[in-house]
Amino acid sequence: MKLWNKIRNLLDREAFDRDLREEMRIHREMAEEKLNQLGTPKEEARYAAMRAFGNPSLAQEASRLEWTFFFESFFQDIGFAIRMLRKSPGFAAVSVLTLALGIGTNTAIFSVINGVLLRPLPYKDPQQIVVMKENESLPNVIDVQRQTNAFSVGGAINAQPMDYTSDPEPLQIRVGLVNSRFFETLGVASTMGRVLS
Amino acid sequence: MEPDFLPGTLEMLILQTLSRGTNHGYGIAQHIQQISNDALKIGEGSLYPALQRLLMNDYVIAEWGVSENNRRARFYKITATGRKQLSQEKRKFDALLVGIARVMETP
Repeated sequence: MKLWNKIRNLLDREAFDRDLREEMRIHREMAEEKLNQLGTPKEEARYAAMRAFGNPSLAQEASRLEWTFFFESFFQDIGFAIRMLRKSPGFAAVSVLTLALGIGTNTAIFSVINGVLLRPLPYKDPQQIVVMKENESLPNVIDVQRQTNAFSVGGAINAQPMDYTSDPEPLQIRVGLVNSRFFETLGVASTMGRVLS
Repeated sequence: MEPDFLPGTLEMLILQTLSRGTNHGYGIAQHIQQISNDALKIGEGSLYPALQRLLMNDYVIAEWGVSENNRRARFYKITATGRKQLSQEKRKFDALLVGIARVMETP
């Protein structure tokens, strides 16, 4: 069982490393002996065997890699990154600042785009709402309703500032005069009272 | 070992070597080199990782023992699963060789 073998290896990594190191050392010694028997001087045989073997640390690392779970190298990478950042705080600060500015800018731009372009209007069938800005006369609205089949309902609003004077302080508020189809068009209900029918 | 050696081939060579009897890392490398007339030189950087892959898949088991000239060594032994794997690899390899030969022999 591959997984079981891997777990067992993970629990006794020390023995694994020891065995492998020992095994590779013996391998070099055997190669050295062979060269010795063939008549190569002792010292020379030793170096020749070492050269032939290549880099034992690399071989050890490659062998050990076969056994590692993917998350082990992930944690190692994170640890390494943290150590490197700690070693050069200036670089770390600049990186963090760059990331912060980049993420901040992106978030800001996205919130604007989301609000203006992406989020649908809070009305019934927002994709079907069309705003026509004509001169503000009701006969125009009635004409459009009568003479075209392009629009299904046809609400109209005439918004304008008005004065509100019953309070101690007079206020200017925005008031919309609407026709009877207006609420139906947007599919909204009244907050108080009832809508035109 | 050349980097463009077909993947999995080294494992097959090791299993084939071990199917003749247990051996240690050095012995395996020597055997492959001698039988292949020095055409295949197995670097330790690929031999030991390959042995680890075989161990991991239970194709071989490893045990410390004593070599013919009274030296401590780690001996590898092929398992039943390893033999099954070997014959499977052989079949695949044969098919591959036939395929390559066909392509190369077509003018």
